Amino acid sequence: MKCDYCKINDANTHIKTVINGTVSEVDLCPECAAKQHFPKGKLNLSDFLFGPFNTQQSESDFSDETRCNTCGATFSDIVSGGMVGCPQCYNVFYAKLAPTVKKAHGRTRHYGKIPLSSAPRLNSQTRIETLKKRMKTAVETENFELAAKLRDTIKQLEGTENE
Amino acid sequence: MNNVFLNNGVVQKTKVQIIRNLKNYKFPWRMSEQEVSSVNELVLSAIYDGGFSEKDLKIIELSAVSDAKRQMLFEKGYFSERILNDFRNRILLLSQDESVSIVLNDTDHIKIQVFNDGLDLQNVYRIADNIATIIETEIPIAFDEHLGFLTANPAELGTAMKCSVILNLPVLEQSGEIPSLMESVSKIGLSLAPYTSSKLNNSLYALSNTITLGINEDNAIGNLDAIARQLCFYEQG
Repeated sequence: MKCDYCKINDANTHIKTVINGTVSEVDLCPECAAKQHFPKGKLNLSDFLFGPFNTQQSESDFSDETRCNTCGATFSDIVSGGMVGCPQCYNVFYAKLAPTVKKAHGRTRHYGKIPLSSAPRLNSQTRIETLKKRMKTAVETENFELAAKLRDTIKQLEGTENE
Repeated sequence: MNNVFLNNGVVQKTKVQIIRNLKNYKFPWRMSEQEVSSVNELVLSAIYDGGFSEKDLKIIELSAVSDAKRQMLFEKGYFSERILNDFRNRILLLSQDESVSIVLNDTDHIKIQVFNDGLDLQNVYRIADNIATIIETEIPIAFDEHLGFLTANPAELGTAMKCSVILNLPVLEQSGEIPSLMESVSKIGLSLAPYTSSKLNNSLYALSNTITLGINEDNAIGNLDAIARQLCFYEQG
């Protein structure tokens, strides 16, 4: 079978896509498959997330030349590099990256460890939740002194929140 | 947690990887040589000021070792192919027994990896988290209230923690059960994949967590531990 694109080489890659019920099929040779951005060799997750079938990214996402002022990356740079440019990019391109994040994890909200240095900046509800967890661990490990301190801090935070 | 499964012949190895990035720096693929050096310096002083000695974690400058040694370190899984090809200014910290490694400026600024034999997720995580905590208290870390620890690859956001258990599954492989197991574990945020770093034994599989955002460390470890134990039962009939 010849390649559907160049019509010269033998095809060895069959691609069937079903998008919203519309089926399309093509047979490609390795060169044309590579040109269509189907990576040869080992795929990693970011290839899927930023790959050609990521229909959640619209044309306008790529024509927009907004640059991150920390690392200078545009959204196209991020997609072609398969990686985000710097921590600040998550702020700058949040709306464009959110679908990718959702696709990878199914969720968009962190629930886990918080670095100590970030704790004071978080809203009090998140802090209270974290402190309650720490208090529970302190009680379980019979560290009652720490548990009491944490209880007081929680009370204080809950007090300020209700005001 | 009992350690009945620590060395039962099915579970070969446990690995926990934690990624951290510095707050005010670009991710390594966009950094200049100078920025790479300054991240190296910051992280090294955080680690050594935080209580580790150079005896605990030896500094290996990847540009100073032979090609063969670098290849060997790569095959042991300490760093990615990216670093194997561009090793200028790249640093690997390695414990004496080679169970703890930290690579700087690979895909992310800091990648902490801890290995142990058998199934030992809690302990291995505790060791890795202890190093991460030391670094977090010394230098500002890239963190977002909603997205958690920020990583170069959005698939690692959140806890930025990946755990793997290496399993030897010849019986399940022979009976053709692997494809359906792969599908089942993928539905609960895990992946079961052939463990590629082994060329000798082709019945080795890595069971890992794929979801890092919206699940805390304890739950991620608990899920992985439970499924690993279940696979042991299936394998041993």
